[in-house]
Amino acid sequence: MVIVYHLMPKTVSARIDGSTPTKEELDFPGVEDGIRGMAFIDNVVASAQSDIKWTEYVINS
Amino acid sequence: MNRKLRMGMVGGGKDAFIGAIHRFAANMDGLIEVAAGALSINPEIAVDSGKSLFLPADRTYLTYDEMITKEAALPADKRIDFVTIVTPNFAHFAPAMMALDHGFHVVIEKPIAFTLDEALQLKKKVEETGLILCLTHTYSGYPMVKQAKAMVADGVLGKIRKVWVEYPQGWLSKLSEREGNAQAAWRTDPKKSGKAGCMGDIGTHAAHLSEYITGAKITHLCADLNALVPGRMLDDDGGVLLKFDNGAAGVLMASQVAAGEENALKIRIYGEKGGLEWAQHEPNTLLVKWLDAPTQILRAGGNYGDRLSSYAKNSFCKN
Ligand SMILES: NC(=O)c1ccc[n+]([C@@H]2O[C@H](COP(=O)([O-])OP(=O)(O)OC[C@H]3O[C@@H](n4cnc5c(N)ncnc54)[C@H](O)[C@@H]3O)[C@@H](O)[C@H]2O)c1
Repeated sequence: MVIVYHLMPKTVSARIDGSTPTKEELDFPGVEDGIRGMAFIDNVVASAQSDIKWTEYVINS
Repeated sequence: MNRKLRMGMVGGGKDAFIGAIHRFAANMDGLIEVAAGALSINPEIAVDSGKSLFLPADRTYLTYDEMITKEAALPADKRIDFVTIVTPNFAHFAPAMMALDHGFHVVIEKPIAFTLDEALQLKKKVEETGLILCLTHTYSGYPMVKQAKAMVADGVLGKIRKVWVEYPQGWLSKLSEREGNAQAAWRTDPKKSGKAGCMGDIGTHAAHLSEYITGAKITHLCADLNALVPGRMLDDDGGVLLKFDNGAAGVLMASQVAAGEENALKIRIYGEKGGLEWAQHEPNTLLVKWLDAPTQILRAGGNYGDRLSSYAKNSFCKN
């Protein structure tokens, strides 16, 4: 958690200052990771309810 | 930057678990101050919590709606810079959308939302506004997790073949949701937690960590979910077999009824030449195992020349 609150403010400050954050400073999870998390939940629940062995990991809206 | 960033917090009052950890973490580097809050769904607790954080009364709000509207109307040198959302899962989306709509960056707890559809709408909003959204899958921030990722990316282990990730906790071993445990109550309620219980709460951390370190994506899975405590409405345990797009096979297990366990997240990754092991109980250590040499113990901050990535060399995890 400490590191999240280290990287994120550097990125926000860079926005305010108009500078460019480094690749390391940008290495925190974002909305794409959030979408994969929600898809993981949907796919795991679908698989648990299915008798088919493998469920393809899909991102369905 | 010549000042601290100003944070407005939604949730995290005296009735809450994770909010205080966010404030502790935000304080650590001295880059952030808590400037405003809508700290609880209960107005009395919201006010009381604001007082104990020494927030000014006029920036202790009763609802996130009020906080975001009034903060947006303040002059730029006073208003908050970003909103941190530490409410239960069902109450993530609305404040996040509203914050983005009013020009605030967002830090948000996992899982990002209640449904996939909400997450997709958030993505659209982030793209439209160009604002920053940070999701607190915190384990990917640990120095030795970043070290593990760098070693995999550098090909130190060769091609990755196997991922084992386990996340046992024991705190839901009883039907605590019926005994007044607020954290248990919403997590086991499908109307508040989402489609899954344990898999949403901690399985998502495990899945994220496995994809983060390997740089590979899950393509197929085979899951078994269980509600092992009688009377529970959502899964409190499960096992998932995984296949990754780099050909690796994986096993993910998550349980909140592993009686006696605290927060025993552990990941092991094996390639052609060796393996890595990282555990949350010992976060500053990374074990590196070799097919043809003794196991190494790498420590965050270790003085090993160029062997550690700069991040792992220069930081030591305090939380
Ligand atoms: N990253 C992690 O490792 C981690 C760990 C624990 C919890 N979490 C996540 O953090 C979130 C909160 O979990 P918790 O255990 O702290 O929950 P909690 O029940 O302890 O606290 C929730 C807080 O939100 C407040 N709240 C609820 N609805 C609100 C609203 N509409 N407006 C303002 N405040 C509101 C409650 O009054 C309370 O203060 C969840 O999404 C959970 O998944 C993440």
